Amino acid sequence: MRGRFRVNGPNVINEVIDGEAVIINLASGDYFSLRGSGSYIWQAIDAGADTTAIVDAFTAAGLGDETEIGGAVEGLVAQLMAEGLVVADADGSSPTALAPPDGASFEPPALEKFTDMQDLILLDPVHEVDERGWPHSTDQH
Amino acid sequence: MTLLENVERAGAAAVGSNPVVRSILIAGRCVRFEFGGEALADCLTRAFAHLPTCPDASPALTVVAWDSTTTGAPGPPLPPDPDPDGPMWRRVLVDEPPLHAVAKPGPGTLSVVDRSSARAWYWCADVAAVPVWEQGTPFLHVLHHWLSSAGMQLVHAGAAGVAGGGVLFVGKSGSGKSTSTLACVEAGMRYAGDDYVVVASEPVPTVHALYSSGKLDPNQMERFPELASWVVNPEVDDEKHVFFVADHAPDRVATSFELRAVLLPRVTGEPVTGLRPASAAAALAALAPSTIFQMPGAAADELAAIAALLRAVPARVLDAGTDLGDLAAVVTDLVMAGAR
Repeated sequence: MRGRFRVNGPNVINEVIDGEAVIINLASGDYFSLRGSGSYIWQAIDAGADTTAIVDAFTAAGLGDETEIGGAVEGLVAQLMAEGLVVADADGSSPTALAPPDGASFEPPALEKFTDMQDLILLDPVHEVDERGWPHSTDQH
Repeated sequence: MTLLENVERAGAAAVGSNPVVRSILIAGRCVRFEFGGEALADCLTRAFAHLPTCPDASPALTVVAWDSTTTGAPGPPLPPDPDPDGPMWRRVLVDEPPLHAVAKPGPGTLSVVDRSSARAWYWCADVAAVPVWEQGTPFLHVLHHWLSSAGMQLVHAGAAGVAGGGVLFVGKSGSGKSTSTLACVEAGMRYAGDDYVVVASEPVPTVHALYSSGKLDPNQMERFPELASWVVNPEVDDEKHVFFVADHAPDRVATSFELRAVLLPRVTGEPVTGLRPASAAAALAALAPSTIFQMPGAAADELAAIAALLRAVPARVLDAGTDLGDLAAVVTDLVMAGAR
C-alpha cells in the first residue's frame, strides 16, 4: 500500500521514547509497540512522509534492497490501517527532510499488539459492581 | 439548563451557607471541601487522614459534596445515560475541557469538575450507601482532572519508599503491582498508595500520596497479617478488603517523596527477588494505557506527561519473589542506592 498517510487522531495517540513508539487506540482499547524500522516508519508517517520517501530513505542509507524494503513498508502500513492507527492522507504535505534511519541493515518491522485493556474498560478495577441502575436522586426512588 | 448550572444550583441548595468545611493539602495544593453534613465529611475524608490541613481562605480547588438523605435535597437532574451498555463503574457524561462530569452507576455517584472556576461537585444519594471502596478512593475523577491542570498527573500505580525516596510499581491488575506495594508496607516502608498516586516530573520527579487506603484480595489475607488486621470490611468475600494505613500506622504513610525508579513487577514463583533493566517504553506501556483507560481525559497530554516522567527516571523489571521481606529489602536497597 503506497501513498501518504497520517496518524488517525484524535483517537490515536502516541509517544516515542528511547526510539520505541508506544501507540494507543482510544477507540478500540488496544495499544501497540513499534521498535527499530517500525518506529522509524511510524515517525516518518507522523512527520508527513509518503511511503516512497520512506523506502528511499532506507535504500539511500544502503540498508537493503528496494523491493524487499518496499514490501515491508507497505505491509506495515496495511497493518496500521487495519488497526485504525493511520488513514490515507492524499492532501498532506511532505516533510522538508527525512533523517536517515539507523542500523547496519533493514530489519522488517513488527507491530506488537496488546489487548489487555479490554478487561480494564469493561470491569470495575475494584470489584464488579452489582446492577443497580443509573444514579438517581432520592426523590426518584 | 446545562449540567453545570444544574449541579451548581443543587449543590448550593443542599450545602447552604453553613457547610462542614475540611481543607486538606493535596499534592501540595489546598483543597477546600464543603460538605452537606458531618457524616459525609467523615466518610469521604478518611482516606486523606495522612495529609495536613491548610488555611482555607484561598483554596486552589473548592469541592461541594452532599448526599440527598442527609440534606433532604435532591441530586441534580442528570442527562440521559450516554452508554447504557457501558461499564457499570463509570460513565463519562461530559468530557469537554475545562468541564468534566463522570457518573458511577454502581454506587450511584456524580462527580463534576469545572477547571476554569477551580470548583467541583460530588453527589451521592445516601451517605450510608457509599461503598467502602469509594470511601477508600474519594473524589478520584475530580482530582484527576484538576491535578492535570496543575502540572501533575494522577496515575494508576502503587508507590512505596523510605526516607530517601521511593519507587512506582506499574502494571495491569495481576502483574504483581499491588502485592509488591503491600509487601513494602507490611515490611514497614513508607506507603504512598497501592492503586492511585500523583506524579510530577518537575522540578524533580516526585510521587505524592493521595490516599492512605489500600486493598487486599480475600485470598491475600494470610500473606499480609498486619494489613489484614486493619481491614474495615472483613465480612465481605466477594470484593476486595479495604484498609486505611493512617488509622493504624500514621508514620508509615508518606505525603510525598522523590521518585528513584519505576518498577515493572513480574511474578516469578521463585523465593528471591531480583532486578534487571527495563526500557522506558516498556514502563510507558505498563503505566499509560491503564491510567488513560481508567480515567478518561486529555489522553494525549497525559501520555506526554507520563512519557516525560519516564524519560527522567530509570525503569527496572522487578522479578518479584515469594519472600516478601526479601522483596522489600531489594526495593529499599535500590532506593538507598539512588537509582536515579
